[in-house]
Amino acid sequence: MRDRFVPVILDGYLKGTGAEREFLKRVDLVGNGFTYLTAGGRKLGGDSYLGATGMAKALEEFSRLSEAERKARIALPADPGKPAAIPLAPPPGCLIANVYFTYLEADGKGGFRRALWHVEGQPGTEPGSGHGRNQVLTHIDKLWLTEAEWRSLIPPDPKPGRVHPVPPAILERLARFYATDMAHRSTGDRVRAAELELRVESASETGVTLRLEGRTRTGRAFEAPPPDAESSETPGLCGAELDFLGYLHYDRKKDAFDRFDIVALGEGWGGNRHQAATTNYYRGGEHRRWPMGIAFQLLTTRRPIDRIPPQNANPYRCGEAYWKAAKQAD
Amino acid sequence: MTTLGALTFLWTQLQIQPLAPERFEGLHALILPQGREFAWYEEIPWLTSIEEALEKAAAEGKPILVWTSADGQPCGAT
Repeated sequence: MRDRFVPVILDGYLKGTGAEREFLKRVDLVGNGFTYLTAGGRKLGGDSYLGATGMAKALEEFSRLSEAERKARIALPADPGKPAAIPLAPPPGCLIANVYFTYLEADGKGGFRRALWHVEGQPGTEPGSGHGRNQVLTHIDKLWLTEAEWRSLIPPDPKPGRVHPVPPAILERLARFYATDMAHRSTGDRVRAAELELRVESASETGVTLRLEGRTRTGRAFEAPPPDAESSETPGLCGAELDFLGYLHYDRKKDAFDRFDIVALGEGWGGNRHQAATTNYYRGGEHRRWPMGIAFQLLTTRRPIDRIPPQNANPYRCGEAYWKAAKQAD
Repeated sequence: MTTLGALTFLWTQLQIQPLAPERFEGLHALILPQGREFAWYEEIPWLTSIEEALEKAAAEGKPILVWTSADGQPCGAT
């Protein structure tokens, strides 16, 4: 795929400018899967739903074309289209972090190991069981902080031992959009409690190291068994309790953070058995707490894939609320 | 408090503080993608615009593979 194709990923809701969308409609783009095309807009065989199973067929068809047909390029009109259908770009100077989520389980030695994402109805307890659907997986999202926001994390007069709260807008963003079962696709859980603080660990002419600590309580408080008239799958029964610990380093020379590593560790509950990612909760139909972990890691590259927006910043999820979390929570 | 009681208390505290600083690096690494789990993400030079893909495909004489998710961005959180 890497060497023989030009690979492109498109958000099903935000396929691009009006001209790009018109082109994609004309070539009958597969809505949820893989489509193969020439640069001239000719569709190649091998379209497939979900899996990239038609690559060989598409390559064979492409090889039968003349060089002129292979290199012809369709010109799209310069039409900016509806801005709402164009994927968001990170604001200038934005700090971008990858945010990884996974389920955990006790390892019997006082620590944790990765847990299987068990798909309801698929037998087996090993990775690859259940017709390959039960796997140990990691879910990815992005965190964006504007330049003004990440600068607000650095105290004006950093002295070792000094403690200050995480600024409200960042606290609310972390709590509402990340301190949750991210595989369940929360679109902003209710924040029951959130306290995060930054302690200056060291400060010098070269930089400032901050330790982030605290805890969040989001969604609905856990009750087992579920209250009367509610089942384990009642909408809105989801919640999470997480402890945070992180290390951030601001490099004065680069005038940027060069470390933004955070772990959130705790438990979540609630979900829906039809969402594969959350069925761990439902083995046996039991409403229970499940260990989970979230890791933030600074992204220093800016490839197209690095610029994919946080899911809840998209207009089809929470849009502006992503940036105005603190205001909304009032 | 007896010595045994104090030890028990300390052990209990350790058990309920899984996010202690000395465990940070191990936990962070545990949650990140494991092995080649994200090879499909990291090792494929995905573009995110069909216009750019058309340009590159014509220049390199290659076919375009478009991956679309009906419910968001295939390489993001959907």
